[in-house]
Amino acid sequence: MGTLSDYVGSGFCEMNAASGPREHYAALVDRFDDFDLTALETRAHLIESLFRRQGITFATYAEEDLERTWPLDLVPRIIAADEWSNIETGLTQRVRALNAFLHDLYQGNQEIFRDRVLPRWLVESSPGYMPEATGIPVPQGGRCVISGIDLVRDGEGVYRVLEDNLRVPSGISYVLENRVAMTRVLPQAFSRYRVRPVAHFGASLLRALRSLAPPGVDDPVVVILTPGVHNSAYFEHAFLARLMGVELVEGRDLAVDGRVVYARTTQGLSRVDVIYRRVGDEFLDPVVFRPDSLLGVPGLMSAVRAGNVALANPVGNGAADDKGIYPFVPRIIEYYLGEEPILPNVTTYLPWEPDELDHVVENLGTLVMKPVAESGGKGIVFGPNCSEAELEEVAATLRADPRGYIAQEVIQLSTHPTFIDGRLAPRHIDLRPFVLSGADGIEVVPGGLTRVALREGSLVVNSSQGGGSKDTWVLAD
Amino acid sequence: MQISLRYVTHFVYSTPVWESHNSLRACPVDGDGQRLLDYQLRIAPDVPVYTYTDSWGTRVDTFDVPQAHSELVVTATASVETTAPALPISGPFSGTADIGYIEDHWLFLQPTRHTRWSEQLTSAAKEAMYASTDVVEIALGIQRVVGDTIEYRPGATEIGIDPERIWEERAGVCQDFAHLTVGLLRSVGIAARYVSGYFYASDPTNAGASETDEIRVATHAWVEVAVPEWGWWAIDPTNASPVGERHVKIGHGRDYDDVTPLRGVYYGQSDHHLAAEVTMSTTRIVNESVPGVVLAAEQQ
Amino acid sequence: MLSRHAENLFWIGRYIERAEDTSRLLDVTYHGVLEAGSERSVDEVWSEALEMLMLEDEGIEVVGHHVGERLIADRTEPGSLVSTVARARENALASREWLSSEVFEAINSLHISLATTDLAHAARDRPYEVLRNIKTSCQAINGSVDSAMPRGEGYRFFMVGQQTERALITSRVLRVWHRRLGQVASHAAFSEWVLLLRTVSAYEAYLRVHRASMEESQVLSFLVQYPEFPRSVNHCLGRVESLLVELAAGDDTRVRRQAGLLRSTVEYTELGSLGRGGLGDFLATIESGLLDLAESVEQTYFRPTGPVYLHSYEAF
Repeated sequence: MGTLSDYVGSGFCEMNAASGPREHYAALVDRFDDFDLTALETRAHLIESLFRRQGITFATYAEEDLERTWPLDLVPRIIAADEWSNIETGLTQRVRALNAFLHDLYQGNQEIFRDRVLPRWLVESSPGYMPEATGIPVPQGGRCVISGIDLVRDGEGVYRVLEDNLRVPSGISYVLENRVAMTRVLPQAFSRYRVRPVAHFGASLLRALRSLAPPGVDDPVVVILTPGVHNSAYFEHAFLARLMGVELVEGRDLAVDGRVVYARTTQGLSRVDVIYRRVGDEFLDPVVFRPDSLLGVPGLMSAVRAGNVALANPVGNGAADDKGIYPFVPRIIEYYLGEEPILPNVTTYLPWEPDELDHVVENLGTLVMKPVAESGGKGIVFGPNCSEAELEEVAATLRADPRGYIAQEVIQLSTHPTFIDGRLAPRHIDLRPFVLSGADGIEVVPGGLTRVALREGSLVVNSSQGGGSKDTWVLAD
Repeated sequence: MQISLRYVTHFVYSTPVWESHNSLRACPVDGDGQRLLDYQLRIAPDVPVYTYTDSWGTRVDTFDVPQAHSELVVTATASVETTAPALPISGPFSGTADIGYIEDHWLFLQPTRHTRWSEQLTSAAKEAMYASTDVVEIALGIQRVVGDTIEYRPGATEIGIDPERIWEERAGVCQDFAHLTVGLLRSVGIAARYVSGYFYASDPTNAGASETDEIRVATHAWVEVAVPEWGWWAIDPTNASPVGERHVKIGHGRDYDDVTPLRGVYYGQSDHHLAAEVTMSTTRIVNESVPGVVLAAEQQ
Repeated sequence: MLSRHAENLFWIGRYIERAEDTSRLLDVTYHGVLEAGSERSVDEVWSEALEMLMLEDEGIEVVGHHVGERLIADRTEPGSLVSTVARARENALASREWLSSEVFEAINSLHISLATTDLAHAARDRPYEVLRNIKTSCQAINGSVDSAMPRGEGYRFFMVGQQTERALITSRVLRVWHRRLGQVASHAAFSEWVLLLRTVSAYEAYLRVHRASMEESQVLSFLVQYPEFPRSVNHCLGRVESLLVELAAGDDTRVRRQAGLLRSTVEYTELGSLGRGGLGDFLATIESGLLDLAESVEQTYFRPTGPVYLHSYEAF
């Protein structure tokens, strides 16, 4: 008997084709057949104790969460070289186009509006659009410095972009921690594959950040700006600071003098050139944004405007990862790059287009409705779960406020064997690859964070809602 | 009309403060029916001023005072040539059917912190419309309702009170008149923006000051309405009048937050020790070589 | 080093020292009250304990041993042991990269052990055990700092905090005892001196130097001036002085001069020549000198421009 060779998947299975294991999974199936379920259980416990010992948790150190370790599944997700190469090219293309769009929007002549490719009102309705960022210089390539682009695989196995995260995407620290843990727990499996490493991420991130330094700075000083220990991603902020060997600062550690940013040290003020900030736009500078923010740095925006310091990511990226803009990204790619989009979107309908409104209303029961101006999953209506009466209510809302929503087809995410309650069972997964963009080009970290919906049949993969993760192996040629 | 004006804000701190970062929007706009002839800014302590134009087209002067200081004086002087703008005769209003109007004026149709409306305000606005389909008529109707309902009372509110409370308390200052009017207009689908500026009159409700008087005023606020097939039309709800040559525009935005005349932060030793004196005087220039502007302190 | 980290380390040093000294003082107070059988009431003894902990102005109501339980377990009381340790741990979290993982884990475990057990019950039921555990944990943390932290800025700021707090506690305890003994009798009972020495962990060290001879001048001189006793004010100030020299950070001439002057005053003043009133004044001067020094350390290294509050304003 074999633990993986007896496995029966469901939906689009990442591991098995109709005829049996896909070629790039064969060695893994083979390796897992050396284990019985008890051996797997032992290894699952080993992962948990490794993470607990190192304090790899989320929601940091709040008393009630002390024991809540990061959930990593034992079965890695494997992506074949040619498959990855397509994803990599597609992500690079997408980020290049989004860089160009943000540049046009804040620093250029907003030609995309004049050419009627994208309606201006749509951008203006986005809560992430920041008029305050207009005219602020950003170096070439320095818009989407760090982005996390969420991909899903539909019932036919096609990779589609579900969402762009261009503000402060998190999760990269877990990609690195997952890999370290897996090499300890399943060393033999690695020996059967040539898995592309992720360990150089720190160096790549640092290089991208340093490439954005103001002109004339030879040895730029980079810092990470965190909201503080009470932030739920503080673990990651501290992790990245250690990884890059840079200082982790809070707003009060920085001062602005003569439109230059300095760190307050015991030896006096010490200049800072690039800030990788994990603080939201609205909180960055109380002179310009929320006056009650204590997380930011007074005067920071004047230093940024003067070009004396670079922010990664810069202010205003939210205008490009908004739900209302998302349906237009394929057109944005065609418009700025003159290329066909490599990675398709999930099919999306715009209720403000009269013929699309009719289609949406007729098919409400099979669609997901998402409010344009809300974030964090707020106000999402899942058609298949609605009663007739509820659907009628939604239809009325859409007709009254067609600009308030977009509608998307429901994607049945691909599934992957996952070790749950002592056995291997199919669970839905997605993928968040991380893309780095700097003055010297775009780099995609091989793999990314594979998130798993641990509940049977569930499509919700968020770790805050009980999702798990997988180490993601991208194979070398 | 040629108007010269002087804007002075004087901060006195009970104990020294430091690392003050400030941004000023006090410079009259060059355009929108007026011509900027001269603008000077002096900061004491003497620190460099950096200037940019924000996305609304308003000039922003930023300045920092890093060292410890007990006083900060901001003095801006400007000369402007103003003209009385033409009045629109009519502007056909087709409400939500005019997709082009909505999409072109999206930002100025949305509720904001200072302009959000409730059903109560929407029905008040609808009542003021008298079923009219003309933006000019509707705007005048709403302006009249605001004037009839709200009493001008200096110091009646702090900035930040939303229109609902202004409506209930029936009193406010010019910023409140402007925010309430903007909110009412937007609630029935008419695009409106908030304007910050100066008004040459002995007090913001008295338009009758003699042209040669030297008078003290505060900064003023009014409203611009998007009239279809015509453009932005300025009205002054505080004075229940159109905007004329006594109005000097600084800039416009979605609401007060986009054109706050002066805002900033500083470090200091405790709370509540700011004594701000805002003094502003407006005078008609008789002879440019005559300096003489009387500055009197006025607690704001 | 970021000023914020330096400040956090300084305060971790102070909080851990304070927690250790508080638990010892409470322990001795429980013992003292029970064993002494003196003419003093329980409430008097506890009021005096509050004063020795510099908590006399905190509005803590004195109702017998209840005050001791509050000083151990009351989370709403900023001067309690549980609060002091919580603040040390909060600072440790924020500056974790400057602590060795052993030190961090030791602080974290102490915090968790106080936060998760039914401390109030334990404080009522078996205060000695609770206090001994806290004291031992603090000593272990200090030991770990000593053996595992590299001698860089982080270590030095921690030690400056620890030594400053220690000197403050010693001088305050002395002041309170001196005042009371001055009122009661010129020749206090042997047991009173023993209690004083035990409060600042000096009993055994004193015996080794002076045998069983308990003279007021000898005890005072030992606790203030004796250079080889690690809790004497003189010894602590000597450490602070040399740590500041090693730090050589920022514009520190003033604070170094201040530490040096205070130490030489402590070391070279002829205590015997001061008389009873003069001695009280002298102890008060040392205490305010130490408080000024702590304030200067903060101003010099952590907040070059003074205490920081951010104000925002808008003007029409």
